[in-house]
Amino acid sequence: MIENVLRKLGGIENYGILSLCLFVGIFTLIVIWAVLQKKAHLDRMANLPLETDSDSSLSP
Amino acid sequence: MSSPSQPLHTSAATATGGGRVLVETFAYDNHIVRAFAIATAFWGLIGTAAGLFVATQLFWPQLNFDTPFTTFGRIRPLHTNAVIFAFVGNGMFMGIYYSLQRLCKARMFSDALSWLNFWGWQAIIVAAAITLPLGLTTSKEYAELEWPVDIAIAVVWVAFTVNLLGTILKRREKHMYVAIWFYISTAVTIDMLHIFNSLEMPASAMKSYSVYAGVQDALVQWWYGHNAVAFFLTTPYLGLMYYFLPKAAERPVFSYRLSIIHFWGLIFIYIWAGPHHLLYTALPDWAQSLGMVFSVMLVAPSWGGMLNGLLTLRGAWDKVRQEPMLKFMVVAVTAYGMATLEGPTLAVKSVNALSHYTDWTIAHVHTGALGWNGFLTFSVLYWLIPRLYNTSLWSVKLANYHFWIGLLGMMFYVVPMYTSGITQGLMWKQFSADGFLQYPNFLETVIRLIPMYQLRAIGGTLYVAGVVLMIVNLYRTAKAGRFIGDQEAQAPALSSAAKESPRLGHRWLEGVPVTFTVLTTVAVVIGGLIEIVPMFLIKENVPTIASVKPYTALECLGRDIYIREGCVGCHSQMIRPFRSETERYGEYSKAGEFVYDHPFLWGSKRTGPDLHRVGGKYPDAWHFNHMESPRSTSPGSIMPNYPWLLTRKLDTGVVQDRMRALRKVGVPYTDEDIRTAQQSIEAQSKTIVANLATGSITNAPPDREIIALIAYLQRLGTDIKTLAPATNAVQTAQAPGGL
Repeated sequence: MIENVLRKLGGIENYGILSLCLFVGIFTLIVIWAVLQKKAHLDRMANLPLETDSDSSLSP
Repeated sequence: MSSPSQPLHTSAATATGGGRVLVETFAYDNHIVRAFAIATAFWGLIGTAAGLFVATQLFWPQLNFDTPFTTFGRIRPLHTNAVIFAFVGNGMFMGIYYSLQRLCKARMFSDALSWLNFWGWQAIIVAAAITLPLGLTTSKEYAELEWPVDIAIAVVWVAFTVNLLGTILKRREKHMYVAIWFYISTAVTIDMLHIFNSLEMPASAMKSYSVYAGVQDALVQWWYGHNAVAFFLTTPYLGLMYYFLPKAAERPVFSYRLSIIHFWGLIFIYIWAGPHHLLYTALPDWAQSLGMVFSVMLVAPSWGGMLNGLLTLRGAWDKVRQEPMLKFMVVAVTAYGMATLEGPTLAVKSVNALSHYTDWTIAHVHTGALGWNGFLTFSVLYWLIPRLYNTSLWSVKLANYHFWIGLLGMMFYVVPMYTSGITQGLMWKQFSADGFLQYPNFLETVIRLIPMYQLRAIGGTLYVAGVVLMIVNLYRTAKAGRFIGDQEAQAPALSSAAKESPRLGHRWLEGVPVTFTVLTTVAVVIGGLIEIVPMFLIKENVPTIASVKPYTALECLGRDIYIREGCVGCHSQMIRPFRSETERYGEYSKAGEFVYDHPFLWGSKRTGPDLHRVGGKYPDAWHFNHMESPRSTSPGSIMPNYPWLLTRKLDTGVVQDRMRALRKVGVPYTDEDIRTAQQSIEAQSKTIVANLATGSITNAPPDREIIALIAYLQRLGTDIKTLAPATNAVQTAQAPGGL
């Protein structure tokens, strides 16, 4: 059965459509995910490397 | 005495919210960081010097010294392995072990695993440095090491993965910074790639055959090879960029949002693009197109990352003038941008038709290796060593010299190689007005490139000189300072409730490392499955050809000599369906011709001509003379001499074990074939000796290695010539790729 399914998928047109749909779908999801992030959280994350080695960051 | 991985002590403190939290005091492990820093500097010098040596052999063949251990075919893989796994590998571990501890606010999970990682990795490198010159190789590019070393690599890499994930699980910082995502993707993907590409059937203690054959082996190999570039040379270094660039610029990364898109876009797309290494080969068309489309898509996340890095320096470009570390970083990120635009360009089939097998590929990979990996490693070393030794850099001036010498060296390397690559590609394809090849003798195209190879060696010399300056500078820096082995730090303990706050956004995901790791694995597995599984399940992808038979016992041993001597480093065995190639070499290669090739030997560059149809092209005596002294038959050739093949006795005692191993992976040798292997070898050797006698070589002993190699070379590409014309036409119609 798997072979049958894959044989039907074997055409180059299907692979093109499949790859395009996957790419657009996943990329859209990632962009939405990124845009929904709160600025305060992003700022805090972006500053993580800048905390000095012996920092005792007590913020929750 | 308490273990250094445990908190030294805890104390109560008041948090900014007013609540009481426990503050733990612990120590970062700088010993392991220093060990990897020394290793990356040392192997960086060895790896680049080995590269300079093989580059010089290409215009000065006498430097092969007529001994097996120093010939180009054996030393080139030593150079590539030393640079990739020894220089960049140790550089990666150096940066990860330093930044991961700080980003997690925790010491490494296990000191024992850290040192197993270090010493295990160095032992593997030493094993490579011994086995590759000895000719113990699988021949698969960047996966040449034989099966016992492959097992060691898997063990050490799993130790690293456990140590990485263990450190993340015991972290004191709730959210994982973007650099850690890249480290996780590196760890899990390299585990997967290495294990699946290294599946091989041992025939003896240091000899094995890939379980895959021909087209399937090629696809798995380049799924591995391409993603080794992605997940060994790129993702960990992007993690280092996201940590060390903001540190040096003293400002946060330009856009954290962009880093989320960069990460997921990159790891999802990269894994699909492997087939772009096999365009116009016997790989089915659908797989080639898949590789091409995803390669072009890769520009988007790659450039997102590059811009994120460069824009982090907005308003801080004055620092670049003063701080050598930032100079190196800027060039590294720019080289990343250039290489990641060029890679997708080369993956477009029409461009690849010109560039593939030429030195253009060599120029491309060295933009990445010298610029991105090399300069980024130097950058991190210049930043890190003074801090590990609590001092400042011994000489900023010397570091600036290193920068300019290195940059000049890189230019002198890549510009001649681009020129060489395009010249090669155009000369191979050039037809005269009468419709014949303009340069029918391959050697004409090689001789034209010699000045480029000489210029390249100047570039390599400058680059190696820069590395020497760096080592002197860092050594003097270390001597002037005092090493801080265990660096004390404090951070509030993180409660398990805080680690697992149930949300669905990316912020939640950054706090749940196990789920994050699973999702990362899923992202990289999808592309691999869709690319590879159909190739194994659908028979139509590899049309069989009735006249293609397994190699005889003598040819099998000859093929092993071809593998041992690294011939695949300069000669392809894949004629693409272009008129320029069929005119030069003969009928284009079909997938069905390689079904017994464990491993495949298609190659990736043509410093010498393609050999797939060399069988029957020249008399046996020509091969005999050519292997002893290539310049006797081909004046001006840059191929090494192989005199030992004429004197070394062929070890026929191993042939039955080898045939049995090949039978286990699918080659249909019968019991009779294996039982009569010795008689078969003797009979075929006698025929070759008789042929040599007709070519005035009357003293050739029948039991020397050269006889087996001649048997193999004369077999290459001849099976389909025995087909009846009608059958041949049917099979040709089924073959992939248009003319």
